[in-house]
Amino acid sequence: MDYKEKTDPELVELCKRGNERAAAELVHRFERPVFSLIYRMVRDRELSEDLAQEAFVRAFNNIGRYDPSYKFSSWLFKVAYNLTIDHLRKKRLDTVSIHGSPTAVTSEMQQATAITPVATGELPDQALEAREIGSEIELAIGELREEYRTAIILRHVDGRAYEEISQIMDVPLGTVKTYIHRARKELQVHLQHLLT
Amino acid sequence: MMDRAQNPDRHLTPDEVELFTLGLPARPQSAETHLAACLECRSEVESLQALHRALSSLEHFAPAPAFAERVMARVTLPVPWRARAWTLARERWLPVAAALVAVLGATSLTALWLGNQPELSVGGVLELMSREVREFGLQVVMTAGGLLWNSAIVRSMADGIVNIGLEGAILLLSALSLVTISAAAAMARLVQPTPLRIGHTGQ
Repeated sequence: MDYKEKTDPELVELCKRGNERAAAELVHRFERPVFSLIYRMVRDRELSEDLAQEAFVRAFNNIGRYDPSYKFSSWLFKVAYNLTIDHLRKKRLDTVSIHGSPTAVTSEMQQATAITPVATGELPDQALEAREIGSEIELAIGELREEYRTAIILRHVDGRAYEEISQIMDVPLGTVKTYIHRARKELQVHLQHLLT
Repeated sequence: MMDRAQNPDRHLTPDEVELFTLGLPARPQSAETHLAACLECRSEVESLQALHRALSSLEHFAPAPAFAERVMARVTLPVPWRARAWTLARERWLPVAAALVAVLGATSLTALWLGNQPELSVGGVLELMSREVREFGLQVVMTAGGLLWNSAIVRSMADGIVNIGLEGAILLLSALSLVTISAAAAMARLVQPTPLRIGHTGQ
């Protein structure tokens, strides 16, 4: 059976019947977007790995409670978002820095937790430019309020619909629109020199 | 809000700006006309288009290698009871088959023995069985009672009840019950899985 060919709902059905290979395929499918969302929120690779792992484990161990009328990815992102928000609220990490985790106490730790966007095969000059622009955008995203940050990442980086973001963040559609509108306005101010 | 047909100079709404930013279809003609004429709205759309391009060019970060394997090592998928029963039967087929053979054998032998007793009717067999069971039960109760009475614990408890009186014994019994119930509740809380909170996060 080729699991890569299967749709998300088909894989979820197999998971509900105890098929671990179907679950592994879903992990492969969503590990990057889930990890990226968490990483952009907490800016700590090790912590993001732990939270992402916990999100997948909770989602699969409670797959019986998943409502198939929603997209599986929405359910998974919702679990990941709730875990991350709970963690951030506990640790009071309101503002994060691209230059490293706020909990880093040595320069080594700061270097280890800093975000370095990966270039995608451009020429050296273009790669450098892409890297710098990426960093500035990441920095600007990191300055946003956590709700704005989540909404803007889900909308523009992951390309998710407003309804889906509303389900993931458990807020009304109007609130999502407000978050995204305000996030864009703040980003436009921060990135003015790049966007003109 | 006043319709654009009534007021062609009204600026684009955030939803209309979104349509133009993402280049989505279903853009109203009146909004297109307004956009062509309004520098402010055009500049807003262009700025958001640039922001959208910048954001959508961001890469997804990858977790460390073997992330999926680490996740799967901790995942326990629910298994339907039919599959569970089949797995159990397949994994432990020998004891299951032996138990089935033993039950079938005993039933066959009993049926054979009963068939060779023409003087026994169905009612007679049932009466015989109930008498045997009654006698066996009585014997068990008598033996257990005798053993308990002779044990040192029961004797010391009986002496204790004599010393503390009936009220004291009832009080002691109540306290013991309370401790047992509390212990059972604590155990239940320990073994209960942590509920998954997927609800409102309270913003």
